[in-house]
Parts: sequence; C-alpha cells; structure tokens
Amino acid sequence: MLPPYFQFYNPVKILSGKKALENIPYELELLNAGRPMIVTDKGVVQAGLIDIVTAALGGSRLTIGAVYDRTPPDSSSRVVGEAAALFRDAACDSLIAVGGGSVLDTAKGVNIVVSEDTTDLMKFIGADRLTKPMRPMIAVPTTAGTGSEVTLVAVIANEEKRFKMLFTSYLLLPRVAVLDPRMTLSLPPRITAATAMDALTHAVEAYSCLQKNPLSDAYAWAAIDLVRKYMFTAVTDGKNEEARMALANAALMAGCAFSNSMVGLVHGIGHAVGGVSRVPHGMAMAILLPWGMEYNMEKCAPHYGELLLPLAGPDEFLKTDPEKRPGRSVAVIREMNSRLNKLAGMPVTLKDCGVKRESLPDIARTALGDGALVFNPEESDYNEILGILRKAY
Amino acid sequence: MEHELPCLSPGCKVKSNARVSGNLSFIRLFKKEKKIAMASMQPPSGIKPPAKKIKKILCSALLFCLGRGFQAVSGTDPEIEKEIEAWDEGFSILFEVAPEGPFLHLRKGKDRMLFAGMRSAEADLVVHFKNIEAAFMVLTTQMGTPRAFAEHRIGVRGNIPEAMRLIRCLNYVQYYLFPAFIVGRVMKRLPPIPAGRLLSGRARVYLMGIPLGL
Repeated sequence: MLPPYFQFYNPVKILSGKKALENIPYELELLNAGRPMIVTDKGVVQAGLIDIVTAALGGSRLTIGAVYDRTPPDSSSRVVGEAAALFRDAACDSLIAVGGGSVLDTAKGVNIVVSEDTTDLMKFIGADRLTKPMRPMIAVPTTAGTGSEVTLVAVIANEEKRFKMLFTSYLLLPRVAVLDPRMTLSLPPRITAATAMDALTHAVEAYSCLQKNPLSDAYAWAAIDLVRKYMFTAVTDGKNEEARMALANAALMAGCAFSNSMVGLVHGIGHAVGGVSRVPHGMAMAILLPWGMEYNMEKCAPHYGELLLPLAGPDEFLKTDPEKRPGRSVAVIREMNSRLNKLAGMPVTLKDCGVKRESLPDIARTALGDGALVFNPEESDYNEILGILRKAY
Repeated sequence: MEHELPCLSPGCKVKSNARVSGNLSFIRLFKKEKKIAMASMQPPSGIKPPAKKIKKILCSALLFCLGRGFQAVSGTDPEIEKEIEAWDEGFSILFEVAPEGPFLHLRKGKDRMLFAGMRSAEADLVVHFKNIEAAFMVLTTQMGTPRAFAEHRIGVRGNIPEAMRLIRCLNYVQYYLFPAFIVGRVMKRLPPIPAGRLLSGRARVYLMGIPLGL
C-alpha cells in the first residue's frame, strides 16, 4: 500500500564486484578531483587493505595526498579536527574512506569541516544544516553491515561535552560507494555474523517503520533475501567471494532502505546498549531484533508476515498459515541467532555480551533520548524499554 | 506569458517601420532594434504564488495556543515537569515556519516553561516546519509529530535527546489542548493522564492559560 506521502533519495553511484577499486581514479576524474586523502584505521592498514587500495589506484594520474589511519572505533570531534588539518596541509581535494562505520563517519565529519570551512562542528548538528557543496567522497566499506556508504548520517562524539553529535544531510552522502570482494574477505566469522545481522535489522526496521514506502521496501526485501541466502556461507567460508559480495550488497541495500525510511525501536535501544555498555552494534542488533519485533507486533504484524518470504524462503512461507507468519518471522530470526551462536560464538543475550544487570535502567534512560524512537510505529516509555531489555538479558 | 523577440539578423524582416537606406541607416536600425530586443529580454515580472495569509494567521493562533498551553500545564503535570527538569533555566525552544514565520519562542523558567513571544530568536532547540502546509497539518492535528518527522516535513536543529524530550512533552500538551477523538487519530497512543487531572488541566489551559497567560 502506498503511504500518503514519502520521500526517497539515493544519488550514490555504486560500483560493485571484481576489481571495482580500480575504477576509483576514473570516478575521481569525473568529479574533478585528483588528490584524495585516504581515511582509514590501524586495523584496516594491518589487514593489508590499504596496500590493496593503493595498488588498485596505480597506473592513473591520481596522487594520494595523505593517509589518515588513526580513526578510533568511535569517531570524535578531536579525530575529525586532526584529520581535517592533515587534509588541508596536504592540499587534498577529495576523500576516500576505507573502513567500517567509524571511518566513514570520520570522513563525513572531515568533509563538513573542510567544505564548510569551519572548526566548530557543533554549528552543524541536526538535520539539513549543511549548505555548501561537499568535497567528493568515495566510500569503500570493509565491513558488510552499517550501510554508511549510502547513508546521509554521521555520528561523531563530542569529547568535551560527552555526547554523540548527529548530523544528517543529503550533502553528506558519498558520491561513489565501492564494493570490492577483496575488502571483506579477511573479516573474522564473528564480525561477519554481527555485521550481517546489523544489515538484517536495518532492512526489517526499514520495512516496518513509519516512513516505509515501496522504494525502500524493495531495497529492504532484496537485502533480507541476500542475508538469508549467503550469511551462513560467508560465516563458515570467509573466502567465498560470492557470499562476501552478496553480504556487501545486502548491507548497501539495507542502508539505502533505512536512510530513507529510518530505523526504529531496536536501533534506539541498540545505540544505548552500545553507548552505555560498549556492546558491538551488530551484536546488540541481533539480540534485540526479535524482542523489538515482538514489542511492535500489534502494529507491524502484516509487515512481519510478508517478511517471512525473504527471511525463510518460499517453502517455509507457503507452508505457514498466514496468521502465523508474523510470529514465525520472529522465530526464524531467533533460529538464525542460535545458529550463529554455534558457528561463530555470537552472543544470544545481553548478559553474554557483558552487560551488567544494574546498567539496564541507565540504558533505558539513554534510549529514551534516541531519535530512532520517533520513527517506530509503536510508542514506548521508560518502563517498556526496560521490560524489553530485561527480556533480552 | 510569451514574449516575441525581434530578429536582429540583417537578412530578416525586422518588426520596425524604419526605412532602410544605405549602410548608415542599417546601423541605426540595428541599434534601435537591439534596444528593443534588450528591453524585451528583461525577465518578466513572473507569477507570485498565493501568500496563504489565512493559513499563516491560523498557524500563528495555534502556535500561540500551543505556547500558552505548554506554559499552563508545564507547572502542573508531573510527567511534563519530570521531562523539563533536565533543561537548565533559560533553555529556549523556537518553533519556526519557513520561510518567514510564524514563530513561537519558549523559554525554561525556574520550574516551568514560559511563553516568550511570537518572534524569531536564538534558541537551543529549533523545530523547523519546512512550509506553512506542514505546520498547518501538525498544528491542526491532521498529522502527528512523529509522522511529520518521518515524512521530513519537520526538521530539528539542536541536540536530539532534547528534541525527543520536547516531543514527549508535546504529546501531553496536545492531549490537554484537544479531545481524545481528535488527537487519538494521529498519536501512536494517548498519554496516560488520569481523567481528573486531564479535566482540571484543560480547565486551566482554556480558562487561564490561553486567555490570561497564567
């Protein structure tokens, strides 16, 4: 059914597949840039991925102006400032972000600072605050989960004031997203599982939140289908390029979906679990998704019923009674979690992740301040969020 | 509106009564026609879309009621009190409708929200309606605040947790301002306000809050 109104925007050019990295110089040339700064982190460098990227850029007119590899797991205003200073000193004209969500957020933050010619990121917190055209940015994700390569969001911690600054603007969308199988082949099984479940959560929430629409539904549906078909292969056989590319594409499609129709309660609580108890985002998503779906069941049952088809496949869908399909979708996700627990040691409860029971109230209070709750179809208050957390514990 | 431009090509019949005789006459004619052409190339005055003055007046009135209503119940409803407790004294909120208003300015007093006028001002949190229609739909409760956010009809400048706090407060204030059968259509669920408190709150809003600013 068509919503009364919706918006959809995704101008990111997508290069996906074998030797995709080699096309970066051509794309930069089209964007009138030739001196990019690579933003990355130490883990990516140690895994040898920057060497692969550098080699792939060979034989072109392009010059790598600088490489910033000190991005921490959570990006901060200090890190962004440091990287932006390097960008200016090296007279760079564009950005290539090679890494996970934090690296991509850092590159987006650097882009705000250098394009808006500012030192104060605080001025741009919130939605649609950016006004100047950004420098060309190319995103090369090395995990298959966040979808940051096609999202308009950047989250950067303000170390001084101790809160996470959220920036949303269509100007923050990278110009090109490059999915190359070489970038995710070395991901360990546990991270592969966690990031795939993150992508699955993006897709399920995009398909059921307030701004769901036929375009974001198509992306979400395709993403879930790919996760079902390839997640376990990628976890058990990390060198399988087809499975790796399928998950990279699933994450990207889920990113397109949620960048437009937004995420809801599961992400709202998941961000707080990550912020308070330092639980990796994908793990929090995997644990919370079935509980969040159960909480939203009254409002979202028809959507969850439809999702049984991409989640479990046509045989399972056809043999399940229509009225039992929503519940079965939740059960299928729980079964995925159990299997990932056996295959990759993925935790199935918050307790397994090291969350302390006494921190649950703090997590619930933090979750109440998360913007994702607005887009959730069901209202939730402190006690209800605490209830979900206790169940997931 | 179409504008016919005279052709300046020497081979063309120009729209002029001037007689062409020799090179000099042609140059004069050319200059004259060029002037006419330049005048014709001035951009037309254009079509000004309607100003929607009535909707702006209605939105102003509704923002006024919202501001006065917020002020009235913020000192009496314990849930709203709990929410605004987190804001420092002087914390300010601006509702603005693009491009030129109306506006509503609220400021945190010692223990309640204060109606601070209907003018634009610097604020810690800005709720930005992208156009007058968006403001009209939300303020007349044809559309809930969450849906307006989801449909990108409203933007927020400021800290997101504070915006979430404000949205929760607005749910309560709207329930005091409008009966359940109106707000129930656009809210995910009605705030759990006991009947007695709801009744006394509405009396306060409509008898003292909105008319007297108390």
